Amino acid sequence: MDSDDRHTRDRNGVTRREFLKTAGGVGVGFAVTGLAVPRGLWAAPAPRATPRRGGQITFGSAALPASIEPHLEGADIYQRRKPLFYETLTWVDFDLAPRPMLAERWEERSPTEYIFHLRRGVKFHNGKEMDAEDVKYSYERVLDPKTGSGGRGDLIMIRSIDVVDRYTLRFTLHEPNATFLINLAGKYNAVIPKDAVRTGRELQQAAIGTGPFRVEAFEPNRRLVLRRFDDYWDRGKPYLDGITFQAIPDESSLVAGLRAGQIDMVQFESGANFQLVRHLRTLNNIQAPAIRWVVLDLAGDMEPTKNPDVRRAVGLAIDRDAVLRIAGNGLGQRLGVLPPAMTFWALPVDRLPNQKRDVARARELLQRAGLRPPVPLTIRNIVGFPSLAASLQVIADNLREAGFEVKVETVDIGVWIKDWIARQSPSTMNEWGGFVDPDQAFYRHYRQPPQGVDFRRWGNPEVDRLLDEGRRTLDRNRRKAIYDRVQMMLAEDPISVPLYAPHLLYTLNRKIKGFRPYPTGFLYGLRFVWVEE
Amino acid sequence: MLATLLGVSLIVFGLMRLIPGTVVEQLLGQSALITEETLRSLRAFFGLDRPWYVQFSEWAWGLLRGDLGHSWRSDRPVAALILSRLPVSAELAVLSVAWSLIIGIPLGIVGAVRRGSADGFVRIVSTLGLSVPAFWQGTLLILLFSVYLQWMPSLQWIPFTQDPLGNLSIMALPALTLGTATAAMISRMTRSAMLDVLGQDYVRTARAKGLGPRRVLLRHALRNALIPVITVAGVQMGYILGGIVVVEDVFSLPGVGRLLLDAIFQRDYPVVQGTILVGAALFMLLNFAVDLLYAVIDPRIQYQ
Repeated sequence: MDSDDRHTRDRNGVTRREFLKTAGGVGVGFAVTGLAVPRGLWAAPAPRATPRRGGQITFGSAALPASIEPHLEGADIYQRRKPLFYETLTWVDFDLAPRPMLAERWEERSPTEYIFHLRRGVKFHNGKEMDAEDVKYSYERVLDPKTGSGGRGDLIMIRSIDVVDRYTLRFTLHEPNATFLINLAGKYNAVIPKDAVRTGRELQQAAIGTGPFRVEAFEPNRRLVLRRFDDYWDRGKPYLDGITFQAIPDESSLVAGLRAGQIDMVQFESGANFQLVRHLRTLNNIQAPAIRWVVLDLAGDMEPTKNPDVRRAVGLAIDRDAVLRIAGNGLGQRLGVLPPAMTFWALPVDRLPNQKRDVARARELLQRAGLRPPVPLTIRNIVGFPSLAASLQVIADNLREAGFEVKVETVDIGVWIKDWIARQSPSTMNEWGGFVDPDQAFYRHYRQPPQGVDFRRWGNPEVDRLLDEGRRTLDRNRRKAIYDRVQMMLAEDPISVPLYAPHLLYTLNRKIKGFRPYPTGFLYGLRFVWVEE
Repeated sequence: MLATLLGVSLIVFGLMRLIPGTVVEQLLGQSALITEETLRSLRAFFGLDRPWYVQFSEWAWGLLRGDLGHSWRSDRPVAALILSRLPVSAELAVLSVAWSLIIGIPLGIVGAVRRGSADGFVRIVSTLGLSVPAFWQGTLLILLFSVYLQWMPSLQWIPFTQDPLGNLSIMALPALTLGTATAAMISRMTRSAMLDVLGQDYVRTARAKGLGPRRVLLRHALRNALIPVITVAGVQMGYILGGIVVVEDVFSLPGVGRLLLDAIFQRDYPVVQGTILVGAALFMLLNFAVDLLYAVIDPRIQYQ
């Protein structure tokens, strides 16, 4: 057992490794049958004690969304909570494999034709029974450019959706796509009743999903109150009667609330605050590897980082262990290109080039690029992300040693997003993740337009070719070889310099049992939670 | 007043559109695969594809009909959003002004009457009060009371009518934080006004007539010294309205300040415009009320 697994153990629960082992076994079982037909969606290891029905918890977090629109709202703070009340045809399990959710099973008639058989008796929160027309409508709404959903790109491989009968649908694709089943579970998707939308604004405040909880009250940016949905199709779940999400912007107030017992559970963004409560006997702490990473993204079309030698020099100048230790409070993992939590896909650091700090080599590369120190380099930072600011301090120091003169430019998130999606951002600190497949992580980020966005303007045709191939290839091992090559190329020419993958940090009252962290930070695990008397 | 409000609305409308980024980018997030078509759809959805003067005219026409518009992110009426948050901010403002008057006036009197060590103390305290930023003071108070002294008010807002004690325990620290700088300003103003008044002939006359020191101080000197103090308190309401944004954020209070801050970050133009306009109108009304108060304190002042 490595240190991460040691940390991950809930005092009364299971370790992540024990959990993944069992969940993996379940996954293999499904794969062998060809059709995935689980007895219950959450066929995961049973907690040691018997779960108890009832009880409510208050979950404190720094921010809550302004809207709960199922197909438009892209904020991470919303997406993490959305699976508690909205569901999709498939979901990606804790082992990062697609599993049935609202679809009971599917058949792959050909690489471009999938037949989905829906669960029967699934009710929406308004009492209506879900049928194939609702599913077709929901996915087509995301696909419709008029909707303006950010998830349209995830479904663009779909040529048509046809209703075969009340409980059966046919999805036809333009061409084979390796991530189709995963993307059906994408964060912008949700199955809603066909008649729920009239003006397009109804769902900003009220949710009509099929999830285990229904939205009882929602105050934008402040409070989200969920109540157990008694007609939930996975009988017996969830265990809790309700969850209240309370926004408390100041993390020191969250700490105080936990200590005073006013808050039962918190997901900390800051390692420092997590450490403040670690020693308290009334609380349990969970630390789990996450698919999320802090990164320095370089501008491929701006001086001086348009030169690959300069990009390599930047990568070699940075002491990533120090960044993890200082900025991440040591509560995370080093990563090469993909975070270790993407267990199957991530190449370990020792198999990738340019991973150790080498200031002398960095200076040589600057010289080879014809640049004389101090080389000016502007790095953008975003207001309100303490981990980025802390990382940037270490990076600026490291880069100065290698001959760069770092100018920090701090902007608010609105400015940052605008320039980022307009592909005009200078080199910038960034934190991204939430992906379960390398195609999701790489394609839109590094594939040149119009297929991808290539936010950093890398313009690498060889990577484009590999990413297209990886998307079309269905064999998992062949895909692995393709994405290994992409990772090698990203390490050789670091247009992105991954710094560390911060752990998911949860602190919860000891009476809360059965919580399982999900690698992307989505709160699927709250479906299993129960409260001890 | 109408001209001022029109000016404020134009400035706010213009400023919001000068800040880079719109609600569209906020909504999409950083990882979305965005096409021109998607951007066009969303811009049209929020009406951002129309010229600014058309957008302004629509908003202004709504204002004339008493409609502040709907929030772009939550689709709730802006007026309802403001009204739901107003009681929190109003209570915070009233408590902080009360706190600043309760602390500031006696401190100012002590400073004026007891020249020497007490006056020195008052001057140091008021300088400190003016110098400490509210966000820093607020964080220190949270740390002191909740982390070290383990005294933690409810994190869930409780209206005064529902549980007065619970409500006041939530509001005490924010009001203290927000009122400190105003208290310092009022104590300085009271001290200097009192020093001025205490040297006047009518105070000397009152003393010569054999009135007790307390009566001279409170009935004759203080009442006359209060006019500039009230002017300062009125002007300070502007500071308090601004400070509410910071203090509500630090103490997680669900007031208008938090509403405004969230709306700015989310580029929710109707909410920002509506909130600032209502804030400006309130500020003008407060100043008007202060003007009326002069006549109550000083009978020599009469309005035609």
